[in-house]
Amino acid sequence: MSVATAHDDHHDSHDHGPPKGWQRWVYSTNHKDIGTMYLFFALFMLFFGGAMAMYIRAELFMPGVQLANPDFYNNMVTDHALVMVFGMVMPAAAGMANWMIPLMIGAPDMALPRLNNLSFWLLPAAAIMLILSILAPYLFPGTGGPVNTGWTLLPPLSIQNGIGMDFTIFAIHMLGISSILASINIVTTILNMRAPTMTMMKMPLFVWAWFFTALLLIAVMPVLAGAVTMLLFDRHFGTSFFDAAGGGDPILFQHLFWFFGHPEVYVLLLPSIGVLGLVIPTFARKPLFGYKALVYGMGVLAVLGMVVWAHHQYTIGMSLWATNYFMIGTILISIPVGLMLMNFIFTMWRGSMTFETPMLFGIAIILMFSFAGVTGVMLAVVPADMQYHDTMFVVAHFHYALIPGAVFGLYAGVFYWLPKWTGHMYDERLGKIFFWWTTISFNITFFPQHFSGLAGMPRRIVDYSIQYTEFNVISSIGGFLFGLSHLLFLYIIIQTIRGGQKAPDKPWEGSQIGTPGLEWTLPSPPPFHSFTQAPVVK
Amino acid sequence: MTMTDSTSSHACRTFEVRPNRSLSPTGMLIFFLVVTVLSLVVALRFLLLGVWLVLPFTLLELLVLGVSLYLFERHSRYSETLRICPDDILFIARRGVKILQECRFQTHWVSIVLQLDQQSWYPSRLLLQSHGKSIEIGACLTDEDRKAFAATIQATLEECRRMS
Repeated sequence: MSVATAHDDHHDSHDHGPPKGWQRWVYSTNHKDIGTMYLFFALFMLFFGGAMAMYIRAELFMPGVQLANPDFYNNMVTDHALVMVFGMVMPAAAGMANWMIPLMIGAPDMALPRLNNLSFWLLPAAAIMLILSILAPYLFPGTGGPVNTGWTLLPPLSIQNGIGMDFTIFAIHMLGISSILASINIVTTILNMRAPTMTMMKMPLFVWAWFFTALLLIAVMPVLAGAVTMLLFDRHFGTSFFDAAGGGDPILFQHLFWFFGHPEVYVLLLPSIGVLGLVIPTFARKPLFGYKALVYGMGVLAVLGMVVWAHHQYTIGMSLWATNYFMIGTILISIPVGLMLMNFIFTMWRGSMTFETPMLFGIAIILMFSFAGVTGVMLAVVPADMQYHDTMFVVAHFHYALIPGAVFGLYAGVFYWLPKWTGHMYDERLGKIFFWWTTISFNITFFPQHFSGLAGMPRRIVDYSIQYTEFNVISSIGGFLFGLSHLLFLYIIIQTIRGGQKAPDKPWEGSQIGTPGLEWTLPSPPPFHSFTQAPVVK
Repeated sequence: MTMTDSTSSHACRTFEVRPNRSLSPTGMLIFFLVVTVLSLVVALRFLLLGVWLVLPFTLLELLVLGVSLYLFERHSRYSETLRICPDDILFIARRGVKILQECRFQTHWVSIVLQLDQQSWYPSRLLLQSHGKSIEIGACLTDEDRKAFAATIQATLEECRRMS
């Protein structure tokens, strides 16, 4: 007698297959499907938040109020930040985590697939809430003006805002729940579902990066949830946590917000550092220099990131002791960041480098993020920060940190894994055009803002003095070009999904050098259920 | 996703299948305690400052984390034992010490069916069938392991049939 082998053509006859059509996506528990949904959601939000940025740059093109009233401008500034941070960068990084972590560690799926589904589907609901917060003044006339506090939601303005603020608070709650559930899932997966012999110190850097990111989110998200709930109580239930008139302290909210907000910066940065840890060795064709140092560096970065929040608040009048502590702590962060950047440079040193699109983004990240690091040290120094606080210099600094540090890292990841995800190679020529277009236009947009900021131009104000006009004209032209470049990005993605040159299992020559993970043992695209062959870790 | 094979007596062979877990229950407990202590330090510090609403959210989050880890640990206690003897085959599925399913087949009449999906979209299924009764085994194995497992069972069955 031999083993009978039956080919099952009727998937629905047993419980392994997902439902067909829309149900496949709504009820999905498959990590790749959910990862894809996260990525498309982030892409949508990129254009949504990007449209707000275009409005902001159009308004600032010339001095004077051009397009709408100042409240609407401030509403756009607020929602641009919320959409980009919570709606774009975090979901895009979570999408990559969903797609790649199980493949890299040799797990068949995420540890808690149904929770994974819930984590994703909270996002569209939160996005609807955010959109309602923008529309609230028009949908519910007489309930107050638009949310105009900036993403920091500072009281007393946030207590006085209209009903749109309530929608914003609920949106933040949902986004927070989604992040926490995703983090719990990722941590559980990484700890429990690694293939035999895939020890922690054999994990690809991207997995480590997400491990620390998830821990950071677990640590700080309840603080944000508590803070915005207290805000809600102050608005509707007669409490005075942050209301000075009732004995409350508005500065307390700043501490709560930035206790969440500063680690959030590392939540946005770490996944991109993880991507960089794969891309640089792949295209330098050399193993990652100082893998362990990078892992420990990320750990130190995560810990330091949690204890230096008040460098955002030097001007509120803290004690000398507290100010010194936060200044020294903030400057110390340059040590692990510098170590990481030096490790990437040493990885490239005497490597057999080629310059495909992901590598170009990788090099751009190292150069431009270093620049953000330098302006970051300037801002960390108290007397200097007193001058720069709330100027366009700060806007330039954090855009240099977050666009190269987080967004370019995501672009590098998209181009690096697009062949694996879709089974097709993207058009390298278009990829390179996109790189140069975004990099040049990004610098045209944000570099002049250092000068306008140093000259004293305040941020979050719709109008400005006439002497800043030239800087703003250059910045707006760069902004429009930067926005336009993303249509090419969209075109490249659609083109790659629809077809093109077939991608091999290892689309990059140095794939296995870059990621000693298990994703390259699978075909491109991977089958619906991963690992038809037993994963082997070398 | 681990499979162990032992010869339990001269004529019988026993296979044990259990899901792969890279962290021990003790490790999981230590991880949970570390996260709990760190989160509670933050929440209690804020509580002392009068920000009491951070604590309920922290506790809620720790509850979800704890339940998730517990459910995962509970699932990892699942195991399948397959004992093949010349006369009969005994299959027992357990969670910890609790027996979830126990089946007995006659060695001569049992057949092994490996259902494959043509597009490789879905995992294969390994079935033991006899007299209209069918049970799935090795669902927590990878496809490659499952194929190897099927081949090993078949070889063992043939050997047992020759002995009887």
